Parts: sequence; structure tokens; C-alpha cells
Amino acid sequence: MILLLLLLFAGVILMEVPGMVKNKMWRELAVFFIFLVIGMGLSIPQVLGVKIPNPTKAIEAIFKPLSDLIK
Amino acid sequence: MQVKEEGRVNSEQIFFLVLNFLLASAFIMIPSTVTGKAGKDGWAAILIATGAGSLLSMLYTALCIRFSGRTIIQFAQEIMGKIPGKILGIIFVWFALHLGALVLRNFGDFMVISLMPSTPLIVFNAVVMLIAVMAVYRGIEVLCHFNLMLVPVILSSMAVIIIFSFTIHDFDAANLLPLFESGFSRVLKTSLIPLTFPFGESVLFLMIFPCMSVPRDTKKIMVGAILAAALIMAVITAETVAVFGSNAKNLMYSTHSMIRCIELAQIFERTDAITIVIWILSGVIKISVCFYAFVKGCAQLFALKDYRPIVVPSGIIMTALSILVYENVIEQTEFASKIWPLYSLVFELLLPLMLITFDSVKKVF
Repeated sequence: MILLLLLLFAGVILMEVPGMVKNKMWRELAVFFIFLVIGMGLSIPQVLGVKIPNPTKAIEAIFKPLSDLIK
Repeated sequence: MQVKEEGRVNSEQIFFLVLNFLLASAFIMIPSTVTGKAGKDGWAAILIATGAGSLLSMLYTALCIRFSGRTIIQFAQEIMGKIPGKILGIIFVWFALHLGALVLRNFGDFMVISLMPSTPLIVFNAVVMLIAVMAVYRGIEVLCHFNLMLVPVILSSMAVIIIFSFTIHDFDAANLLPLFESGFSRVLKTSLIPLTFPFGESVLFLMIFPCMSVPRDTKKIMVGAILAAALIMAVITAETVAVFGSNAKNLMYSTHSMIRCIELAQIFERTDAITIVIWILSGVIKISVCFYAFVKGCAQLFALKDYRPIVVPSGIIMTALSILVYENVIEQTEFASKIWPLYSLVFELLLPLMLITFDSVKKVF
């Protein structure tokens, strides 16, 4: 599973990067890598079974008191 | 500095895109969510939400007409200045990403729970995300054409369901009585659910309206689509109550359960395949719209020449997030009915309202 995921990331880089380098789209390349790293950060721990913070929990903690008010 | 929008779409295409976006997951999810809170008066909550939703859409179209040709990311920076505008842009883009991930998760959950219980969730999510990535990669025009191709299938399937549900053996309109059993205030509170899901979610179209060839039509389109979607949802909600009575509120997907009951003369059976058709086709469109808004928004925030380079990594982010957001389906139901109506109002009401107020104040002074 983890191998498959790494293969996917390698494939994405091979597919997208050469075109951007050829057209000198450095800004796009930088954002591409930022997004790819975020994507890795979200997906690899999940495949390995490592707990990462869940945004839903944070949102629930903020809006729960309000929601109880209008129940 | 900003990306020039390459696509041009006409009013008819946008109308059906909005309609499909509104109906997509709501057609399956809304009946059980509103009857869960308001009991048999769920349909009334939808109708109340329609009024409020139309007002909300007026707000979006007012912004859209005032800043024609520019997306919310662009005019937020014009109104608030560069840095605060960017922050608002990031908030908006987060909403698109989060909504996309939630819809993707709903999609996968439904497939796993009611169709293929032993297939892992990620399979459905990844396949649908792949289609969305392909559609968005080719641009808004292709997305609209794709939608226009699917709409006849989706709408006719919905029509079949609505008409044939009347023939279900247990169908009894008396189940809808007495009206407002649980009190009018309860119905009013429930109407917040359909107002924020799906009507308010159309705030994402502030990223798409600038591609329209005739910007004047937005008001007609939005109100028309909201009315049509509301009518379909209210009828289907009333029908689930008529079929299941007070049990309707205990069902996870009451639309789907009702469709399973349809049988005509013992020949026309197993109609639940129709639900799957609707769910897959319109789900793909809704996810694509969210995804488009996210990718386009990010490209404009980072001042990229082209949004296509970030499409694939964004797809991975959205898929990973869709798996992360809920641990189980109970959590999803809780979130959708209790937290989402308030949380989403920040993006659907507060953000546009703030922008338009600031702009009006700036014009006065």
C-alpha cells in the first residue's frame, strides 16, 4: 500500500514537472511541490496508521457550544 | 498578475450546473437529515429554507454583478486590501476543499454502506476523485458540457423515482398529518440545515460566475435553480414520510430505502440501481465544482499563470482529507446536522456579507 502511494507520487512528479521546467514556470513548480508535500503529509501517515490531527474535531470543539444553544 | 479566464460558458449550462450541484448529495442525504430533526414536517423546513436561500443567492449575485468578470478571490483583495483579502481568500479556498472532501466522503460512505460493504472506502473516493481531476484539468467548459450530458439522465431518473413512489404499497399521504406536530419553532430551526446544505453551498459559484458570457443572468439562474431543487427535495422528503411514517427519521438514507420499495406489477423491480446512477453522476459533478473552486482559487491566490499544474496534487490532498475527516458514519451524521449548519454559515453568509458591507461603506466615504 505504501509502495503504491510512493509510486503514485513519483508518477505525478514525472508527469507534471518536465513540462513546467521546460516552460520555466518556477512559481507553478514551487506551489506544485508545496501541495505535493501537503498531500504526502496527509496521506502517508494514514496509510502507515499514524494518527494525525483531524480538522473535524477542531471545528466541532469551536461550534459545539453555539450548536447547543439553538438545539 | 491574475489568470485570464479561458473558458466561456452560457447561461443554460450554468443553470444546469447549479441545479445539479444543489441536488447532488442533497437528493439522498437531505430527506433523512431534515426528518431526523423536524419529523414529518421536514418538507416544510425545506420550503422555508428556499426563501432564505433565495435571499442568500441574491447576496452572491449582487457581489457577482458588482464585480463582474472577477472571482471572489480577486475582489476580496480589491475590497479589503492585499493581505486581509488574501486571508479571506484562504478561508474561502479552505471551504471549497473541506466541502469537496466531505461530499467525497459522503459519496464513498454511501457506496460502502448500501452497495459494497467489503470494498475499502478509498477505492470509491479515489475513482471519483480521478474523474473530477480529469474534468477540472480540461477546464470549466468541459465540466459544463460533461454536466449537460449527464443532466437528462439524472433528472429523468429523479422524475421516475418521484412518480413511481406514489405507487408504493405503503404510500399513505395521511402519514404527513398532523402538520407542525413538533411545533413551528422546531421546523424553523431545522430549516437551517437545508439552507446551509445545499443552498448556501452555491457560494462556490462565485468562482464560476465570472466565466459566464452573460453575467446579467446570474440572478435568474440562481433563484430558478434553488426553486427547482427545493421543489424536488421537498416532494421527495414528503414522499419518504408518506411511505415510512414516523420511521422515516430513523433511516440512514431514507430516499434510497424508499426507492428500494418501488415495484410495478412485479416486473419493474430492483429500482435501487437508479439511486446509484443519480448518486454517481451528480456526485461527480458536485465534487468537480468544489474541486474547481479550490484549484482555481489557489491558482489566483498564488498568482499562477495556469491552474493545471496544481490539479493533481490538489486531488491527492482532497482524497486524503476525505478519508481523514470522519472516523465513522455516526460522526458524519452528527456533524452534518449539528455543526455544519453553523460552521458553514461563516463562509456562506458572513464572508460575502462582510465583503459587500465593506464595499458599500467604502463607496459612501
